[in-house]
Amino acid sequence: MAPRSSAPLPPLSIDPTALLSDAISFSGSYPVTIGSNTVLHPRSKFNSTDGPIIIGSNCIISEKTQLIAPGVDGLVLEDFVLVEVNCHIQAARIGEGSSIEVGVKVGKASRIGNNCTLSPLSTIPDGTNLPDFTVIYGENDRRIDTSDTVTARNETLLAHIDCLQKLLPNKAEKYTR
Amino acid sequence: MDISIGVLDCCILEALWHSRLPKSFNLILEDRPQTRVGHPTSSNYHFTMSASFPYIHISCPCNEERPQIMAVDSARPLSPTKSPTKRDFAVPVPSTPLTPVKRRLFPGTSSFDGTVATSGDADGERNDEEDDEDEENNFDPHDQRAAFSLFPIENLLYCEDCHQIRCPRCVTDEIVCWYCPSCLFEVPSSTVKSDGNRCTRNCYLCPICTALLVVIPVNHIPSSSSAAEQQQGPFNLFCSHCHWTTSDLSPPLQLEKPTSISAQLAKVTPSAHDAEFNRLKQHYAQQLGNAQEDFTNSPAALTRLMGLYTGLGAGGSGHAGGRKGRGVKKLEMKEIDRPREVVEEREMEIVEQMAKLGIHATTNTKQRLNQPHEPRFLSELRPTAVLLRTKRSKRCRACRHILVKPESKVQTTRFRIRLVALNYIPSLTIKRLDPSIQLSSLVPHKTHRFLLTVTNPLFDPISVSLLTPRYTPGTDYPSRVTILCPEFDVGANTDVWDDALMSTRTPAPVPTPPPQGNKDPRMATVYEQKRNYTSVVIEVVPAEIPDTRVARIRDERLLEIPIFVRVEFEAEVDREDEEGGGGGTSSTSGKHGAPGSSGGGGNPLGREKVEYSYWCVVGVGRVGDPVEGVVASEPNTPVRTPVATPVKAPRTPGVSKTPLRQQVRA
Ligand SMILES: [Zn+2]
Ligand SMILES: [Zn+2]
Ligand SMILES: [Zn+2]
Ligand SMILES: [Zn+2]
Repeated sequence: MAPRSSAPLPPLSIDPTALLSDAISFSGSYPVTIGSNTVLHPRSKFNSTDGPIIIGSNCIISEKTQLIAPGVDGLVLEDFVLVEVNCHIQAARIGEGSSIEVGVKVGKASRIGNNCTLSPLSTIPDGTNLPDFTVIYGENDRRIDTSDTVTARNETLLAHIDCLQKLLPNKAEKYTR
Repeated sequence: MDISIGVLDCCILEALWHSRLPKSFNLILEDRPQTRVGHPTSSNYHFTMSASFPYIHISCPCNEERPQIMAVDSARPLSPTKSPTKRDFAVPVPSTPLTPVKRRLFPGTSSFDGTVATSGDADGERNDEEDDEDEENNFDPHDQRAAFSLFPIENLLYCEDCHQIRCPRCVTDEIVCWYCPSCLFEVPSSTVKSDGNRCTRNCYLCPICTALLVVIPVNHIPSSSSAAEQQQGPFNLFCSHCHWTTSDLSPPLQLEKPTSISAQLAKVTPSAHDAEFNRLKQHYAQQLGNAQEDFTNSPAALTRLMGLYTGLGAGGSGHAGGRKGRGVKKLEMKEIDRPREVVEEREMEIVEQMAKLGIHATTNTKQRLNQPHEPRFLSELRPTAVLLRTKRSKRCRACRHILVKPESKVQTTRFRIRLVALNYIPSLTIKRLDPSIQLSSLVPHKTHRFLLTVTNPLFDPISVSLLTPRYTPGTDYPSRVTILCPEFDVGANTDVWDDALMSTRTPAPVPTPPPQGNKDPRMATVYEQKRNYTSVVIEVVPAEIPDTRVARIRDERLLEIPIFVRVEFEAEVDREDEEGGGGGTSSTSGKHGAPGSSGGGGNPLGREKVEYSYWCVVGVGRVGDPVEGVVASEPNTPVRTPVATPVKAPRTPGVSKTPLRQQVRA
């Protein structure tokens, strides 16, 4: 599924080491920046109608996940962010090393700190500010992560990306034309 | 802060109850199988189920007040060509009913208005007074008792010997094996008895969120390092869901080895409560040693232990002599000597700590109750060992035959025996004919059409009668219910059978399904008929229900329709089987020559007329507020449709059929 010619792609700036799969949907007119070594799965959606989207390096954006820029200030995903399947993200910022697990909804203009973990199906209300190392678990319960596993998790993420780069065909040139 | 000894010991015993009770108490509480998943029990019945309309629950015969007797009755041959009449129903009632119909349903007045309509031509038009009279004879889904026997068909078993549906209440469980759901190791029952009902290997759950804990090194070891380096400790238990680690405890709990965690934990966390338990255990074991009786297995000993707390109080051995016990020796057991005191300073400490650390550092009720020592602070939590689970076989309570028997190997999910009701009784499903119907707010006085589908799991064609009271019973605001074609045939579940025969023997005597172009007038209003299912239309006209307090309490707006399903079919029977005698609901009418439907296979097997029946309850939806413009068209809708039971008098199929089809297309 090639991007339709009728809807022009937003200005894309893609790092050459990033991996873009087939059938990614970009919409909007603000620029979308994708950092080095980042993997975008097929059918991930990027909507930059209201603002730019900036994705850092070593991130994974999974299938059916929507990233929507909440405003002119845009959506910033820092490095080492893992976004799993079926998420709906309208955050202003997601801090370094955070992991957003399956089906999470992140409300408009919320700010997620560094190394946060949002466990599956949790919901972050609009405009929330999550401090660093917050874990959202259970029925939107919160606790602070003191496990000191950041290095280990980032290492795992790199291995994950490594594996995906071997498995997924890179169709980045499709979007850079 | 002064609590008597007995009570305290009781508390401790109770705590142990949860953690390590021997099997002989038969109290492996937490791993009860989820036989009633999603199933309502009495009080929360209407609330839990209301979310998912429509639903169909089948009433187990144990709903009847009568005892379950499995005697064979004097069978009454039933002719499929003749529709049941009032006379049929009024046949002298056998001592044990053939069907789960309530006893008082049969004599005198008929329970279904349809039966009257068939028998008497003059009183075909019923009046409402009579209906009201009959109401109490019908199955009442609003009845408090009914909720206990109503189950989705998936939860029901079927006893081939009793020919009865069996619900979880009608079966006895037997434990086949204990196993840990996490490491899938089987635990022998002797170990369960001695070590309790938790995994003693390396399976631990997070005390914060109950996810499984994994072992990770405390200090990050790069993956490039050698295997020997990776085995170097210390180690943490880590929850990958909420990122809790044993280092979060105070003092931090770290393990030296990544294996044999239970042993390490036992060493590292000597809890005061465990010590207390051991002291008590030792004390009472000693007492028991004196009594020279198996404490855990003897009811007499248990009575004696209970006597300690109830009648006699602390140090009550002096009163024991006064008890007259048949064979019970003089009570010699003593309470443990030293009372466990509640230290005031310790309590004050806790209060201070709470004030200092705030609410977020304290445990919630669930976390607290999950732990034997009931910690008040998160830092006092301990990893909890995984509870064992059981595989169980199930027996029919009446005849003791096994209904379910799982493979005893833990890793396999197969069953050796599994007699589920789905394979024996036709299953009903209901859906809206008109997708615009809002199940959560049905419009009063409006005719809602639903499609009721009966699916036949049997390899014989069946004929089905669906009987329903004209007005829903058990409510002050009865809704009118009409099944447009209450008696019809459902084809055999043949295809699978065909395939099986094809692959083994070539010339197979396949029972032919009923001809599709059936000109039987009974089929006149059947909506759809396919291989092994038939759909008919059911019309529901909900009553207007005021929003009063009483109506809310009684949940009058929940619209549940009881339907009596009666199934008849001819089954091939083995001769030996026949000698064994039929069971509760099947009735034999002698051997037929198997003409007709068997297709002349030339196999002179005995044919048996089988009939069985059950009540089911269709939860259609919830009645909403009245809508303007839709008004009562009582007493009848313009279209006169046959009600509930087949009518002998010539139908007017055109009248009832044509408008229906039109509506469907529209
Ligand atoms: Zn039962
Ligand atoms: Zn285990
Ligand atoms: Zn946890
Ligand atoms: Zn039985």
